[in-house]
Amino acid sequence: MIQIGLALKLLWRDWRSGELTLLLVSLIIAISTVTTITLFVDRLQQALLLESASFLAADVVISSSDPIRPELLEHAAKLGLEQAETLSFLSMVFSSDRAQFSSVKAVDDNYPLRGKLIVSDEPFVGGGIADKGPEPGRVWLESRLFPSLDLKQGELLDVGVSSLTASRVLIKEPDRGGGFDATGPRVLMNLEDVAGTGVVQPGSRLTYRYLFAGAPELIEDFSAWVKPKLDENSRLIGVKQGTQGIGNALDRAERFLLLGGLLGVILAGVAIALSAQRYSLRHYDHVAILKTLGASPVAVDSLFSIIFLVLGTVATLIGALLGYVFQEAAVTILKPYIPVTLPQPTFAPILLGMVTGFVCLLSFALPPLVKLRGIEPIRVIRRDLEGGATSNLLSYSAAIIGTLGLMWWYSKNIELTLMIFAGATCALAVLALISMTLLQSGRVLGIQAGSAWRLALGGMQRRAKENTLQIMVLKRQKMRDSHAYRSSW
Amino acid sequence: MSEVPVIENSANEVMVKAVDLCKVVSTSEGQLTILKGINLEIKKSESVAIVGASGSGKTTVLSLLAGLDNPTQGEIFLGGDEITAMDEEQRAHTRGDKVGFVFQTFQLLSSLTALENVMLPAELKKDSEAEQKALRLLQRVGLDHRSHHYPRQLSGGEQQRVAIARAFASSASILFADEPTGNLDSKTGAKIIDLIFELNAEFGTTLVLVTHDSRLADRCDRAIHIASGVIVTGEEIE
Repeated sequence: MIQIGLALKLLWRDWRSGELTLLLVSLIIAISTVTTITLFVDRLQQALLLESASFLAADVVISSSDPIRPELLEHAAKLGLEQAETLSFLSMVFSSDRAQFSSVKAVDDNYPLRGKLIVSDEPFVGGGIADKGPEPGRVWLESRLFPSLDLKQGELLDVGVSSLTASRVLIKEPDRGGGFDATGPRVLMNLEDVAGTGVVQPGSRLTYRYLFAGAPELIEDFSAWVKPKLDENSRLIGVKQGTQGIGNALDRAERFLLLGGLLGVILAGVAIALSAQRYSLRHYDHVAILKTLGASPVAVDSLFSIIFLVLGTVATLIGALLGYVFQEAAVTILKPYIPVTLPQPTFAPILLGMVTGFVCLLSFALPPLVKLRGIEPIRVIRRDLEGGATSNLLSYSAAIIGTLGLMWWYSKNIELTLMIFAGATCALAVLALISMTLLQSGRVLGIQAGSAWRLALGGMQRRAKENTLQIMVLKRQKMRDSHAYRSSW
Repeated sequence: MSEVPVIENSANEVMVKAVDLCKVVSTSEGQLTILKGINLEIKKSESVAIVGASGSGKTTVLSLLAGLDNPTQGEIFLGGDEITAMDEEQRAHTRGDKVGFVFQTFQLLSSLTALENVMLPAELKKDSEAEQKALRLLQRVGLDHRSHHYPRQLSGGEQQRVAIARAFASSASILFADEPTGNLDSKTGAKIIDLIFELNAEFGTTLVLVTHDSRLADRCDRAIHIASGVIVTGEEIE
């Protein structure tokens, strides 16, 4: 039978007397830590992707040696994606006196969708941003082409059978890759002029690139939809595949940030387990008295489940809010060191923080809670009786499954999850062994020491399990801090 | 709920009955028999003291009779219901309905005020008048002015008075008391004894208590002597 009213009263009374403070604070720290890290990582990842997208001039590109089927472009338009098109080929270009083998790229008026074109009115200078490519009838040339073709701004350049005005100097283009069609100096022209050049003939070696940009979920939907529809001459290129170097850097950045977050999850879980254990131990007598007064095991389950549910909800909301505030503070502090403007965070990290809180509560706090059900009323007379019959196997299994599940969900990488979990387990086992050895040595020393030391060491010895666990948690935290400190250099 | 045998009510209604009660526990040195062949009957409104030397098994008898522990063998009837045939869920409901407790160590919840401690049994029964009842009982034991004090802010005697108020708050028909004066000085103990017997008479409760205190045992209608886990005598007190 659920007794919400009484549970809320007991919750309030526990809170008032400070019994819940430690557990609530542990939960809030766990949730706010995870939320802070994930929100920050999310914004950083968004910024990295956005920056990396400028190397593609889009969020995703279809590269093909032939024009792609129009229905693919129509579907992208239906989804509301921005689109642009480029056509690249290698060709000889001519000034009045000279010729140069060049890499020509024809672009439409929407190009580029991401990143900026930098142009100037004279070669080999800084230049400024251009919103779009050259107008029809004009070409922009890379700086080195002007001296090599002995060309001046405003003079004509022949591309195929067309004569186009070399109007500006192309200083930088966002998607200047290192592919086959980028071997020569760049000539940028308008797509409308291509037909007139007569360069495009059957058998010409051409690269059509269809650029798309939009919200990440739309890009994801479109990519998933279009990929199986592409023929063997076409391929889909995302940010990570766009340039191998950037892809690797992104992967490394994600993994590092995830590592910090995963260790945070483990630490938070252990902290919750410790405080839930303490809460549970301090309520053994409480439950025994309640049972003496007529509370049945089912009533005890209901009471403490409601208490933990309310506690989890409150901690989740406060933790998520604090997490948001902390990441905003972190972004503000780190602003001078981050060269890009971070986009606003998405809701997913907040959800992740909230779910983390509840999963931590279930996997780490539930086993001690279940022990309360098994408290026998006779404990009011015989204080020496231990808690309920919940096996350690259940406690450890719940904690291990919870931790693994969270880590997997968090990293979406089973290999990384298992490696970190195994590493953390080995490290904790070694720390446990060292801590137990130290406590055992303390016993020997205590016998020879003065009375105050003997009492202190005796106390530590009596609570050897708890002290070992606390030493492990502290060491783990120091390891994480030093890892983060070293990695920041 | 399974069917529970009920003792027929009569003018001399039996409130507590134990039949061939045994309690054996396992220790590192083997099986230890704490109680052996305990048979007793306690009638409605009767006050009975269970007395005996330390380790004789008197507290074990009390905990078994009150349904706090299970016997190894035998049957226990509480207000007509056989609690030895019940599961813990049913026993808990029976305790809540029929039994009040006073312990040597008071057993108040430290996070609750005196008023909240006294309210607790009624709150567990979802009694909407829990607070009013608790306030009346605190007034009755002379602690209405300390109702918002926590146990740590009360003296031993005051804590025991709160515990007595709590024991009567559930409208119990049987009151079990385990050494209720054991942690108190003789003057305070005497006051507590008076209070227990006054309230016992007032509420018509059946009183079963375990004590070393001869003053307390002498106030009871009857004393049951236990030695080495068996009843030695069950005598009427003049």
